[in-house]
Amino acid sequence: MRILRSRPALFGLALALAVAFSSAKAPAALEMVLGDPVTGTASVTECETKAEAALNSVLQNAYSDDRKQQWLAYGQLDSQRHASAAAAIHCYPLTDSSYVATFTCSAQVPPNTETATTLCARLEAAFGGKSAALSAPASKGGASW
Amino acid sequence: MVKHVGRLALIAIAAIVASLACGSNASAGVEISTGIRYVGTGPITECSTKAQSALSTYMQDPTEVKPGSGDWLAFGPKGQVGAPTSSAAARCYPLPAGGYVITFTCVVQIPENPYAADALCLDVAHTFKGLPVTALATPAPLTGCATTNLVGHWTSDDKPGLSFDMTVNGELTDSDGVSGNWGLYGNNVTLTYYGTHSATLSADGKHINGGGYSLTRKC
Repeated sequence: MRILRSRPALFGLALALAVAFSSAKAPAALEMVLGDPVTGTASVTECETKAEAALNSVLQNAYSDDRKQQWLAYGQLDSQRHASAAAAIHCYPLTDSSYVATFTCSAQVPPNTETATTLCARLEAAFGGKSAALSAPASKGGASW
Repeated sequence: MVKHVGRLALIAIAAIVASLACGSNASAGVEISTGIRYVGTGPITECSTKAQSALSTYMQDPTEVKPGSGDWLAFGPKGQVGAPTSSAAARCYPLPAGGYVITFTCVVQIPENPYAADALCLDVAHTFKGLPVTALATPAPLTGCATTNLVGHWTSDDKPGLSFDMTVNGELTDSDGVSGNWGLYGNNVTLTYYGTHSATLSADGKHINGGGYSLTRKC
């Protein structure tokens, strides 16, 4: 108790604790996760619109191929113009009035503070729609290393 | 009250000093590619079989993320940083009138991965379809003390007799034959050896410091 009342000792203890927590970095990992497909009962144009909006709301600067059915976006760029998160949404017409959307998400953790799994969950929530999982859910919805 | 505030100030100052001293991660990022898709006339099981085979040509251990889903995911071998720097997904979806559609998405870690995400996706897709492929770039030969890997022989600066041999596949072996793993992200080193230790690689690639270790590599 007397030791803790000493200012140098208190400073040293606080410094040691701060260093310990700051140094407890998890090993970096490239994560990639496949979200559950989502179906919609409208033309594929609705999917394309929702895909662009969802990507822009969660990431930024969404862009697509010429068909407008496959959309990509990256997370915020760092000082070296690298992004540590990215995602793709594919839209495919099943009929004239229905489509399926698939979500594929990636993150480099760290430095990204959000996992690829969380990224996909946010994208699917922003997109909305009904999940079209083809089988009963397994214990995990994606794989990361 | 004054003494209490003084102690709190000391704690705050210590925390700030520690944060500044610990530094920050060097930059790396992700590159994503998508856009190739094919339509097949067979059952979705055919798509799954071909997807798994195509992925296994370039990646390791393709996994169907949910049994029967047709969604396949795989990661590349450990790169020179001791961890996979590439990943690819092939996703099959059944069509109402029969047949299936398959899409491909690839991600690589830059700048560590030797080839682009576009190149990976093109080769995986072409392998699926039976089309010609272009060999993917391989990492440049490891020479000297590169700052992009920890491959080489390291000796301890402060523990006499302790040394490590670190290999390109992310493994390390000490002078007593005890094995572990290493990883490198920017200049942040992770040594998995009797626990997990975080350290820093020097700018010249010759020294590792931190986590209780001070090591030097001869180049």
